[in-house]
Amino acid sequence: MRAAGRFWGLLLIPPALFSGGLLLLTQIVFLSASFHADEGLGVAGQAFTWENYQQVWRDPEYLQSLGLTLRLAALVVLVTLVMTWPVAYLLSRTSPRIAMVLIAAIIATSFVTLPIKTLGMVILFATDGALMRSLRALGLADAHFRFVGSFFAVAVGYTHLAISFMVTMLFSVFQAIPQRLEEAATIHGATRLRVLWRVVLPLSLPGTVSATLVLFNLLTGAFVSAVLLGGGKILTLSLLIQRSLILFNEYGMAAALAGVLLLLVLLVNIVSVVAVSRLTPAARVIA
Amino acid sequence: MTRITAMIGAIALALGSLAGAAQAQTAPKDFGGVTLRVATFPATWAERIRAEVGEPLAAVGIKLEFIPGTSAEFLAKLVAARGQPAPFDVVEIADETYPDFRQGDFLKKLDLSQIPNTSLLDPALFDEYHVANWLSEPAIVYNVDKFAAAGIPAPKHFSDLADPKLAGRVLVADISVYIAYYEITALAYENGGSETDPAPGFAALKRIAPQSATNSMATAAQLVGSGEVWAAIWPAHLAQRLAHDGINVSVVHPVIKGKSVAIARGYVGIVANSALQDAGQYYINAILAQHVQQRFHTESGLGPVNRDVQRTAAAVAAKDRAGVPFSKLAPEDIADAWWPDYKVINKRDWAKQFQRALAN
Amino acid sequence: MSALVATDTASLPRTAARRQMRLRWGRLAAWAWLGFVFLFIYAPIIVVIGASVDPGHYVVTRAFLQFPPQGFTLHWYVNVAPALWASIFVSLKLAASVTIGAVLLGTPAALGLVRGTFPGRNLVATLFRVPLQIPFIVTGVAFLQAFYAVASVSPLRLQGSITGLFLAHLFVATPYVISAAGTALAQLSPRLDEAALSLGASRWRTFRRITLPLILPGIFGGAMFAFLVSFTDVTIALFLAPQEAITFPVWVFGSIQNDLETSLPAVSTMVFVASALIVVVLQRLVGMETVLRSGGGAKN
Repeated sequence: MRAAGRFWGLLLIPPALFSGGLLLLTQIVFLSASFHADEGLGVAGQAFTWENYQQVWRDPEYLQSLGLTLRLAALVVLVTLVMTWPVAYLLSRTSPRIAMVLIAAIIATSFVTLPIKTLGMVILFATDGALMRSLRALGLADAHFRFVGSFFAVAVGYTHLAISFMVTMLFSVFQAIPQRLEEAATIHGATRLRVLWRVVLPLSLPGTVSATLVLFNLLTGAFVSAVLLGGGKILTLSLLIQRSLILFNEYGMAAALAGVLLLLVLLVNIVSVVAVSRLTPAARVIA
Repeated sequence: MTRITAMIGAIALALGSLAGAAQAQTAPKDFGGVTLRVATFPATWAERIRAEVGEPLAAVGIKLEFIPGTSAEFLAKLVAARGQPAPFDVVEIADETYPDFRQGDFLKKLDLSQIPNTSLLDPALFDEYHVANWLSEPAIVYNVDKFAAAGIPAPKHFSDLADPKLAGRVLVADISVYIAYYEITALAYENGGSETDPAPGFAALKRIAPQSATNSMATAAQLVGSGEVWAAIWPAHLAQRLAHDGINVSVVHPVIKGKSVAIARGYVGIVANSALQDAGQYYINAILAQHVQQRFHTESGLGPVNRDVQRTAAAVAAKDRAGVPFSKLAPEDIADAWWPDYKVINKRDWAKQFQRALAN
Repeated sequence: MSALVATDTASLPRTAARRQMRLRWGRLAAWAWLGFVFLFIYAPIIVVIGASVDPGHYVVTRAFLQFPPQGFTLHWYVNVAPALWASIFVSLKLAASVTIGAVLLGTPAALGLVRGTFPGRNLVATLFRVPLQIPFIVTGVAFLQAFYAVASVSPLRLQGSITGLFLAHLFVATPYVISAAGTALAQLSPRLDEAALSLGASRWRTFRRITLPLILPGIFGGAMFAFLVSFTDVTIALFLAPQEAITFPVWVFGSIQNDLETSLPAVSTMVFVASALIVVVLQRLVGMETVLRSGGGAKN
């Protein structure tokens, strides 16, 4: 079987060359820019310097934005997980025909480009609209709350982005857990809840964590919702990077910000993977 | 008899040369089927240009290709393309990016004799590197009905938007769009500051505590049109569009720096290392023509730069329900205009202060 | 084991009945939750659809959207700017190519990662994950700068070309296929392969007849993501969009930033309906139903 292993391993060469090659080329060019000072209009200083990174550290606005970005991504991932976990599980245990139709219905909503959906959200949450009036009447919303420009709005936008991905990823995780295991446990007297806790949860954990990480990574980089729903008040790091690039043409600073974000995201990923592998040594965590 | 015919002849000649000047160059040219790449605003904007000048230009051998984006994006692309062939030939230059375009030597010096239509423009609207082709007028756009229902008097100054009755009902322009420089400059001057001392302006912005800041025309239209927001600091042509949809809006142009109207100019220029200067100049001349300027004004509400069109536009200008025109388009108004002194504005610094002023 | 089984035969029907009740309530709760999630997802879509049939006051152009609609018209469905259709076509072609490329690159990669035995496998796995960890905006600018760097030392002009955008999209889409296919592969019992090989089937045959059909839903899921990412991407395309034809999401984004194209809600509705139908059809073609029914050949 060693020969087989090596054979399979060889298959990796073309994709690795492609991915690795592009990764190296683009990141070297871009990150090297972070070590040069911006002299205006995209001109970079000659000397190697840590100045950009120091500025990120010193400037409270950047650190606040970093915190906001990570908080937002983590919160949205959690909310999406809570929303979609039961749905994905339920779909994986219903008749395949129904499941397919419902999944198709969810995926189709992602094809409606986010900018138009956000306009829909703006209309939905209009201050004098039916929804907000009911929420205020129920005491769930403050009289001064305004949707556009709120953390809530950007979170809602991100959640819409995340849900389709999460449902599909979790669905395939659950679908791979044979129903026989659950049936066996039920026959032996375990309640449904116990089955979920003792059988489904541990088996689905690696897949769930991996899906969560993919989503977390996606959300730290998303910026369309922040632009359209953030009202200039919710400044995620991706928005600040875009401003550095487009408004100020500061490639060095933008690269440094991107570098910091990348580092933190990688850290979160590594910590999560290590933590999960500690918990379930038998499970293999794939990409 | 001869004297009358001579007079008629003279008048005809005068009219003829006037007509000639108002058209494209009198001598028909052929540019030999070149593709002129024009970097301008996306979607409807580009389509309008194509509809108006696409055929006349094709007739002289110029094929148009549009690269969509904003002025800031184009500048970023030129910066990235330093030392490379130009990514486009003609470029849309927004007021606040012009100093950067010049500093980076991205623009070609124009041969204005090849753009005779510039004679129809106010001299402040063009020079050897860029020519204005549209105007917008940042002002206060407000919903008359909502103000009346809440018992708020019509605003006279930008600072009036800090009225507590307007809490959470004001929209301002975001720092990523040129209008922001107008609102801060205006607020600064209204509160004893200036472009070099904008702190009073930012303080005033904080007092206004806007619901949000946007750089999107569609968002502004959506928020004001749906009644979500009752007043916005936005160019006047927004009011024209909303009035078409039946909203009772009005515009106020506060006097700043002693001038009666704020003007933002959209320019076009030719990229420094473009090989198509002649075709580019022909294009620039074409979009200054009467029919193009008229169409742009009618459909988008933006102000024309062509003096003849300004005169006719002022005469038939869209008005609010009280009969006051939304925009001030007469040439005399255009001549009495103000704009921020971009040379002394530090954009990074303003962006930071803007962020702070907006933070809750 | 026996302790878990209710041995009291007298109370058996009652506990069974109670469990049935709990199951029924549990199911109800689960479906209600599904309903709530669907409501959340569909709320803005319903608004968009409603706005697409609203006539507005001024028929030729409209400054903003209204909901609920104050009338009914199909005017916006019929008057779509040709440039908008063109951009949809561009996006479709691009997304399709990206999907095919991602599957061709991603499936062998997944096979290699799951089945391969060589040192540094985790490192390679991380390498394949990294494109998804780089914010799209950084990817866009990094690729643009890299293309310029390449252009300065070779005759290749990738900036502002559909090829360049294709490469960037392929770069970020392939990890999805690798992840989805890899997960499906990992769940597969190796005994199936061993059985086939011991019966004399060649490795390729085993792959084609046994492995591939079972991981097809996984590949399909990954391919769907790849298509979605490419079709709906705004950030990367803003930097790398080809001059001649811009993609649909970039068109929409530009329209929202400047002049609201009034037929946008109508076009979005049409895209939505079309994509729903296409996904269902594709699911059928791929044989999702049979695989789902059989439980995917998961490990026992």
